[in-house]
Amino acid sequence: MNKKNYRKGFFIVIATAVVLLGWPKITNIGKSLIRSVSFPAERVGANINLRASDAASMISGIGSGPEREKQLSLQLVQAQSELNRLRNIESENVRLRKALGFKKTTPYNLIPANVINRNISGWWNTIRLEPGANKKIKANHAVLSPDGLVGKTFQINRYSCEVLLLSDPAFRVAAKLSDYDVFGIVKGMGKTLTGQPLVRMEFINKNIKIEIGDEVVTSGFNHNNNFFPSGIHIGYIEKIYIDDSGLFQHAEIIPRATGGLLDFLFIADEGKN
Amino acid sequence: MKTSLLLLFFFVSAAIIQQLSPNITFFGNIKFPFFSSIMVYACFRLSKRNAWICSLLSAIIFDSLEPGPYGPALLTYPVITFLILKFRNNLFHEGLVTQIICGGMCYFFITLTSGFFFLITNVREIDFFPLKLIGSLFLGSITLPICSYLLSNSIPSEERGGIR
Repeated sequence: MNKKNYRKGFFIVIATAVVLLGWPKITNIGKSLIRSVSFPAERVGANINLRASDAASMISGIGSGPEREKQLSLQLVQAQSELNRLRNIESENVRLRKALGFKKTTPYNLIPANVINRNISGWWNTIRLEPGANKKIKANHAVLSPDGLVGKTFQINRYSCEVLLLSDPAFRVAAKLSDYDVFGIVKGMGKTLTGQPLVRMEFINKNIKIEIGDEVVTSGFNHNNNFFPSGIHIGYIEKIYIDDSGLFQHAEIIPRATGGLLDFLFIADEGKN
Repeated sequence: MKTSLLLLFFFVSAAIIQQLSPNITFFGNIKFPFFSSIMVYACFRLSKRNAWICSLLSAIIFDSLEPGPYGPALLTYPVITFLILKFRNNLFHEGLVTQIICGGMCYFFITLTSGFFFLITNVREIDFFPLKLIGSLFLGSITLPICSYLLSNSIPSEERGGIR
């Protein structure tokens, strides 16, 4: 390649970079296209990873099989009795609401989702889930695991969607304490050097006494197209501080749910069950 | 054609492995750079034209798999390619020492540029940046020799007028 062609090539590269950087619509189309094309390969990779993990856990757990079964049976019985108790409470709640003339609260759908990949560079705390626009998944909807809030959907591709995890510094959600009407904003603070996710609740009224161990849940206040149903568990308060300005308190939270590769997650969706 | 398909297979595999691999928490949550190592390896072996095409396409693939805007890879990969093409005739790229130094420097440069890119565009907050830089030197210098050893001669060497 002569020098003229070499410079021409370099110029084309720089021009393409500038166009792609400055045009968000092209960025989104390009990203969605590449992710849709790479989706089958990613799915195969995720399946291989799942099988390998299953095999490894099977080998390591051969000796403790009967014990584990016993433990799971016990958990199942406990969960069933808890479910029955909650069903009774719910039916009583519906009866009372009817008696008082309240409108029926709209329950939300949970769409099951498989984790197919993590972030490629490690700069972002994100994961990729399997259903995408083909299953009518929308952006800014809550993603849950049985342990509580995991994150929110934010870039929807044809067959997959990106999830911004609770610990990512770009994550924000309106929250409250489960026991009192104390409100604030829960914000991701990244991860520690041991990999522990850091989450903080900010803008808590400084005149209200909050305690270590209080449960933090979503408040259900949604703006724009966000969909975070109220009452989703986020975590428990670990430390309490007064803000630098002296106007608010903030609290460090230990989140319970994590979006691991082997977790089975759910995307909250409006509408009745 | 065969080389292009092979390269595509290597890039897709590297992208999947890198995404599935866990973050190295004590290096500020960075990952082993399998993807960029394959790009560096290919740039050392391909003809100038093919190296540029490979660099640009791999940068687009990498940035597409990232949640942020196009930029971190699209700005750094061409610079790395330019430097490799400029100096590769003076380097013994099959040598372990060259691979260790080049791998470390390339990933260090990628991390440094990505950090500045995020800082300037205010896309996200940066934490443990010095640790990330040290980690990238270390992980890059490990990953490139491993990738080169695993791929060994699967990409024919075109850089000095060899097989095309």
